[in-house]
Amino acid sequence: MYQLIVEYCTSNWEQLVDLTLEHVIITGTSVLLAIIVAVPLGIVLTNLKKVATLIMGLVGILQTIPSMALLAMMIPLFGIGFKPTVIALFLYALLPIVRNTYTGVKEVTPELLEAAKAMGMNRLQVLVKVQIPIALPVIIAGIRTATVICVGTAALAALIGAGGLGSLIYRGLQQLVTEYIVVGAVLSALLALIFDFILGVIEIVLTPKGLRLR
Amino acid sequence: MIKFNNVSKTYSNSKVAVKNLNIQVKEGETCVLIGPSGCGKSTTLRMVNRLIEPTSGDIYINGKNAHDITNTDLRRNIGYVIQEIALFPNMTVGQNIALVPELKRWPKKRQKKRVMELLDLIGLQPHEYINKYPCELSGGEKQRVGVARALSADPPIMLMDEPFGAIDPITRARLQDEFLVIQEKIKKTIIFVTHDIDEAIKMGDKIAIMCEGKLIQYDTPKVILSNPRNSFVENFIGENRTIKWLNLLSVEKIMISNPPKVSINEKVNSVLAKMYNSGIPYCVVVDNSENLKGFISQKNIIKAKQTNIQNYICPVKEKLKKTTPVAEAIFRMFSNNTNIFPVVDEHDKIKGLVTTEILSSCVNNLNNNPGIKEEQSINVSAHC
Repeated sequence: MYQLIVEYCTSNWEQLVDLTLEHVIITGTSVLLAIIVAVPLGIVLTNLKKVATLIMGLVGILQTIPSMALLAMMIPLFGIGFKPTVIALFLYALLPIVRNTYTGVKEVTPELLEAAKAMGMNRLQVLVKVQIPIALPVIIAGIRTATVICVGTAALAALIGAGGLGSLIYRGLQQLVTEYIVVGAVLSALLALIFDFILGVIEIVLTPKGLRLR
Repeated sequence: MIKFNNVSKTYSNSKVAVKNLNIQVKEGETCVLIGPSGCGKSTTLRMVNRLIEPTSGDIYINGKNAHDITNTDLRRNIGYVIQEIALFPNMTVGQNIALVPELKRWPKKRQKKRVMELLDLIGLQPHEYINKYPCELSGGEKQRVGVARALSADPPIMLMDEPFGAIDPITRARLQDEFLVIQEKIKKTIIFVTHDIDEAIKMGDKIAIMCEGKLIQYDTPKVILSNPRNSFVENFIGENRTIKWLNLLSVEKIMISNPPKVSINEKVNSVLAKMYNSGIPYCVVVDNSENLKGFISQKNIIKAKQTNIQNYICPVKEKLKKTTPVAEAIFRMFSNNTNIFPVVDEHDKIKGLVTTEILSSCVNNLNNNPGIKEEQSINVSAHC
């Protein structure tokens, strides 16, 4: 068994690299899009209390849809392939990022906000100099969660023709080739761990030193 | 100068926080706002830098209506210190202090110079502290940095909302003393909110006692202690008014100034002559290099048998500073078992004398003063 796997990997490594890259691109695009939408959304929501509850509820509902169902729903709406996959993963990644951005920014104490205001900062300065730096570790933690979820869900997305490591697993299941399944599963798991690790490092680096010391 | 002209604040739930307030704070003066919680003192303070907008009336800052100045400009020229301190945890001590200069776009060099200057002023080693983070500071250090941050762009006005309220009593007393020394140098116009009457008496040039949004009495601490306007003020000041008064009064005000000086080698007769000439029954004895050796009182040498004064000199037990409160002088006099103290200035030069007689007559005067009587019956339910 072990030998078979090694043999498969050495003779097909080019294909494996391609599949892994595909997987990374699907995940990366979805998470990046989610960051672009969710971070500003989270920040805006901190100023709109009533809308915030509504939007968070909606985004929360998206999260409760089983990933398989969400992916399947994409087919009648957007067809198959890269686009519907990215849309589905994007929707999945929204919640952790919006929620963490919202909580992170909200967690800045009213005293700090008042002090910032009383020093003569305008709203943008309060946001950029105080709220975002203090919320940054929490925001990045949200991105981390979203990324790990997306790496996993992307493996399922082979179902709608997204490619990536998931397609290897499916092929293994269909043809009953254990090597395919094991290699696909291990690689996507490794990918999740690596992403998590890298983002963990970024989280530490971007945390303001004054907050790290606490 | 800060002037409140008929200022009122009514909140949206129609709760009246401040009602027709008229107060004038002169330049370089500290005005302490005090009163029970909910009396509108914090609201009053926050209306100055427009964190709260008055419902009616005007606030003038150095002759300009605060309403005509943009929020950010107004606030960048008013120092603000609050009980929670609220240093920004993501910034170093240096960055926190340089915040307003940064907003005012001072050149970096000038900012740095100012930060160093201020750290020095508040008694923190500049090089050691400039790169520290707020979480590495003790409560007292944080509050010092908070004060430095408020002072950074050298605003003419400071607003302080219970700045020492969350600090342990020993550190609080030290910070109060330090701040008084700083204020002596910088002469800011200050509005200071507290609920602690002792702090008000200590820090304020004027005290404004408020209750339910109204100003009850606005006077110097002395007048408030000696002539409380009504029973509310009287109750608010609390018991032991005499002791508070003695705590307020510095020995400088009651000492015998410029007592005659005699050399250690002088004879009894010439010393007595100097006492008669000056009309002061005490003499300070100094040696050839002007060092204080002790005192002589008239009653000790008037029937002297020897001509040399050496045997009649009372030694110096302790020196008092000019600013020492009378209450402390009395305490020290008893604990040192002496009846005469020299009073020295900041250069350790002798400025006067305080004796037991002076202290006891001071206490007697207070008790005979119709304004300062010990409390009669305390009316607990007194209202404003």
